[in-house]
Amino acid sequence: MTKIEQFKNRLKAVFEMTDLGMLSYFLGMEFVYTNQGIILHKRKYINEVLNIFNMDQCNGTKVPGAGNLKLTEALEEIAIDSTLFK
Amino acid sequence: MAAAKHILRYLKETAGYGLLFSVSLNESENCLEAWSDSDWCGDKVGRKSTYGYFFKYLKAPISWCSKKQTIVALSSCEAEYIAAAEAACQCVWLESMLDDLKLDHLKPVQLCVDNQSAINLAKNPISYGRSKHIETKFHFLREQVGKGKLEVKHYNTKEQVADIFTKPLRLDRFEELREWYGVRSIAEFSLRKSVGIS
Repeated sequence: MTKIEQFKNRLKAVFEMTDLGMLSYFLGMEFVYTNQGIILHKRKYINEVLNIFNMDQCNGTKVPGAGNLKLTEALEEIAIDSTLFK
Repeated sequence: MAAAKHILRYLKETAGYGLLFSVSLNESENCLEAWSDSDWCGDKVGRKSTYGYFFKYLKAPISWCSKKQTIVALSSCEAEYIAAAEAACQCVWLESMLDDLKLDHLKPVQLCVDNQSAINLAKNPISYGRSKHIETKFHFLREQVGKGKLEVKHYNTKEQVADIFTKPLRLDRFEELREWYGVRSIAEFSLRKSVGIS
């Protein structure tokens, strides 16, 4: 028996718990196992975010920002409570 | 607002991408590597610079950041120095975490900076006219280098891997760098249903 199995059994003896097997979803992070390694992705979370902003049907783009972008202070927009996102 | 929407559209396009933690490990790759970069005066209104850093452990991406600097840098060297100092702070934390997890890594940690003056500033504890104004807290970098915890080295400006954190890139360059960072589309891989760790 591997050390991990021993450790799991010791935990099970003390706490009520179930063994869900290999990691597949944790704190919004999804994991897939491939021949080359483990890939961590957040497809579910991204789709949730897109839904919140009604962007789930939007057209995709291949780069995250436009090259000629000039950001300025948004004077006419209402300030939101930034602590909501912390 | 347009920029925020652009980011969401990018997410839509790349929802099926993730970070690859590769299985092919060997002892010589047992290192914690860091890259830092900064633009200079990227913010045309407040004249603050944007910096970024990136850490790889066992060739896998573990920590990164892209942020606007808190103060205005007077030179590109200073902006790079600040970026490297922020990376040094993160590095100390990562090292202590690796120690907690009883994971070993090659010491000292290599921090790649693409500005020779910033490297010299980090290596030589001197203060002269154009650098004496740099805020004390950023000399944390110099202290770490002095203690031998960090080794600052130059990397070819052509590689410029941390560029991606400081400015928008052309699509081909962006995709090339993204792959270098370990971002892969899950569609590329044949998935294994059940895996035993060998």
